[in-house]
Amino acid sequence: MKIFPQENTYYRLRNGKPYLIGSKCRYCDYVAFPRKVVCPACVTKGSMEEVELSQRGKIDTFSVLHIGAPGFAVPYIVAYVVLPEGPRIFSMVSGCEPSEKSLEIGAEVELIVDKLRDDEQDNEVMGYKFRPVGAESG
Amino acid sequence: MRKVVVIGIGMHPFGKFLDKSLPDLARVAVWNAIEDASISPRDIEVAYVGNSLAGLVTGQEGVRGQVVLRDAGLGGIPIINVENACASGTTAFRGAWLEVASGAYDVALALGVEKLCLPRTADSIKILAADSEIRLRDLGFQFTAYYAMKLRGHMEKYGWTKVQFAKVVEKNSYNGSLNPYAQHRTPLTVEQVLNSRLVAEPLHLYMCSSIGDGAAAAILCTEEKARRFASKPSIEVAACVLRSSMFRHPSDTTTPTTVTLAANYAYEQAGLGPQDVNLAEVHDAMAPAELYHYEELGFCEKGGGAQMIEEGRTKITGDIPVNPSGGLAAKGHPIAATGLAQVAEIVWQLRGEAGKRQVENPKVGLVQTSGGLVEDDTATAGIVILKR
Repeated sequence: MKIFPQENTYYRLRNGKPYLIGSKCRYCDYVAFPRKVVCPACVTKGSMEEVELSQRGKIDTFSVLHIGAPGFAVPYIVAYVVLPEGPRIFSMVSGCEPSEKSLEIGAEVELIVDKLRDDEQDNEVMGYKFRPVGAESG
Repeated sequence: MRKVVVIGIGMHPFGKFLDKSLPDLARVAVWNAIEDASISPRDIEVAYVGNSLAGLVTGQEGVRGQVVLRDAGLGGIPIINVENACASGTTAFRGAWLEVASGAYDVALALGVEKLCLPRTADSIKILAADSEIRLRDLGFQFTAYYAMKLRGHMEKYGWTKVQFAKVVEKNSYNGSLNPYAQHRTPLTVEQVLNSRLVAEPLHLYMCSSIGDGAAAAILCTEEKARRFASKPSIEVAACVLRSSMFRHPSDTTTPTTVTLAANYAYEQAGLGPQDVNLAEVHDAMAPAELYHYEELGFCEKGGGAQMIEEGRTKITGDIPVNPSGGLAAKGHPIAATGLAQVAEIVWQLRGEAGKRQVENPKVGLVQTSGGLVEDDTATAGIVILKR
């Protein structure tokens, strides 16, 4: 069975397409992901308002993992993706061969919801990931 | 603050000891330190015990320090349990230092002990993930990924190469081969390192520290008491600093890293600079990380780490030897034991007791430990400067 534990915490769907939920500070305009109550930049409490983040970002750095986190099928790619609003987001990258040659720093990627791993009850745990822009599948 | 000196250090060798329990590992390190200091165990007035993962490994979640120290014969004194991931040992050292420096007690013990090896390695790997934000683990994060991505950034920016990364392993595995306490004692060539399996590109297996068991301890006291007790030369704690990472704006490229901020404060505390450091033990959980620690500690300019390894400056025979013990990748990395093992190495070196690994006549040594991960930075950074 597919389960979606991150929905409405990290992302929401609109017309079937996901977007990440960030928060923006009313005072200093800093944009955070995941959502915060206290602004990490100006350290004001209660100044953060929910915002929808861009669905596309750029690879800041990445690695192909051959030994993975518990439950994750190797090899897989992980990356830090920088969004135009500022947040630098840790995420898996799929939709391309899990190889060094598939990606480069600066490559443009887009947000998808896809399988992350199988849990101990054999559920397919779904969550946000990025894929190269133009890739067909997750 | 009073002047504090280290009068005794002890270790249990690092490695895979499936038949040994947490108290077994701790007892050996504590008694080696007691005997090294030539004191009676009854002279110890307060103890700090660092451990990171026993709760998950053995189920012993609370009172870990009381359990292991009672087995070693110690009780009745204040025992404080500390947890700070890979910097737990360094944090225990800081607690012991603070007790003596503040005047609360004259003689303090710091212990770091970790048991990670389980019959199934997959279980150990799963447990290790608990030292980063769990939110990240559920997204596919693991520690090698963090180091791999950071190093790829340096490759892109400064042109560092995998061959240079392998040269760090070549140096440290040679040093480890000379260390009787090290988990891995086989010197490796650049070729062997690059032919070992990929773990997280660009990191190969032999560049990574492995899962291990072990313990290390130090006994700290006032200068005055040291004159009464110790038969060996006392080593002064010139600085002892702990920091956590803080928010950094993604566009901010000028604020120094958490490790640099901790190091700068330590240099100020000690009244010394990076040029005064004769040797260092740094936190190379993945050996190539040593290269950016050189710059973070002020041993070279930004991006200059790779050139330092090319020039051999950080070998035992170089002008600023780094990780003469073999570092985490060769010596082993039983999480909470690491910081105190780094302290032990510097103390041995400053006393001239390091045997075949002995650096020529060092006077000042530095310990750098990083612990855990929050968001995209090390959670904790510890720096200790010791001097003869």
